[in-house]
Amino acid sequence: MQIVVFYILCIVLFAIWKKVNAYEAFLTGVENSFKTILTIFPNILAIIFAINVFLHSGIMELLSNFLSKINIIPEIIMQCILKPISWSSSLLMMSKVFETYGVDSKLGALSTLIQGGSDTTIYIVALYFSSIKMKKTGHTIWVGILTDITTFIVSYLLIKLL
Amino acid sequence: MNKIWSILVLIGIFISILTGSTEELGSIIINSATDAFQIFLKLALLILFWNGIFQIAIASGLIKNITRLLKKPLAFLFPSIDKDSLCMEYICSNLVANMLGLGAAATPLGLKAFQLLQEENNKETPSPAMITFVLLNISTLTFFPTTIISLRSMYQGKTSISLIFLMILVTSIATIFTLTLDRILYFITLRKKK
Repeated sequence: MQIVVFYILCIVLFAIWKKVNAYEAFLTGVENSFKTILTIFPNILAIIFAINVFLHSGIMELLSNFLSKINIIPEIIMQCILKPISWSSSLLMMSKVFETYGVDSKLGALSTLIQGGSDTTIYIVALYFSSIKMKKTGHTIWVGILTDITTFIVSYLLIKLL
Repeated sequence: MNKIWSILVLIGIFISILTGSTEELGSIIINSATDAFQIFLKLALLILFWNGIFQIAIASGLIKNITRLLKKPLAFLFPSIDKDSLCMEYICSNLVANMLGLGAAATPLGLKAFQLLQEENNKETPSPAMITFVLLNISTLTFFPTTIISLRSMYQGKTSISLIFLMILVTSIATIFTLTLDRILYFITLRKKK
């Protein structure tokens, strides 16, 4: 936790050194993000509903036999599938893992690494290319998806080895 | 997203009918809204707080200062872009914001950079620099993943230095992987044109 404190200290100290009104800036930042927040709630509700239905349908019991052989849980698989599509829904899967298996467990760490590894490929490609109304995206999507898969494998191996 | 959502719900309900757990599922569906609200509240407050902090970093010029330091090494990745152009300025500040974990601040900068890249490109297909830029935004080299660390502490977890180090390691590997693959594909297309 000290790292967060240190990080914020650096930002605030720098602002004081530059004689910037840090308090006003903080307020502006919070105010500006209100809109973003309101747009994510419908998304979260929809995703939580779908994830809950899926995870509690009994499919967990069917899958967990198979998955326990490689020490993975269905939640992590779901997180990997959602990761390239929606940042908030894979983040939700991560909090589900935290809730069920504990933050400091190996699975919690694995989930954290997967979340931090790369960003939401498909969303980012769509966002950037649609902003300039370009339809052709070159090799971005494929390289992006391969990057996601690489982060999953690397995270898995790292946690397994340590 | 629509397809995935529908598939998840349909498969879930279908399997619960097969395994005979529909009663339990019913109560879980009803509780989904409360569940969603609790997670939303956690996430929303985090985003509000961090955006406040990020605004301080932007207003004080912290991002601009780090950008200046990193301009040279980053320019190497975009050989076709003029080092002192406004476009390069936006590219660098976007990447720096990502490195500091200021995701929310990075996106508007990135969109601006992408627009300027397109003005230089002026074609219907993306230029190599545009592809590299989007790929860097996908692999997002982050040295301080603010949201994830905060979420971990909200669930009463500890985030040790070694875990942060591992996170940096994973995102660095992802970034190196992306850049290598991007360069290889770039040279392949160059050859084809010849």
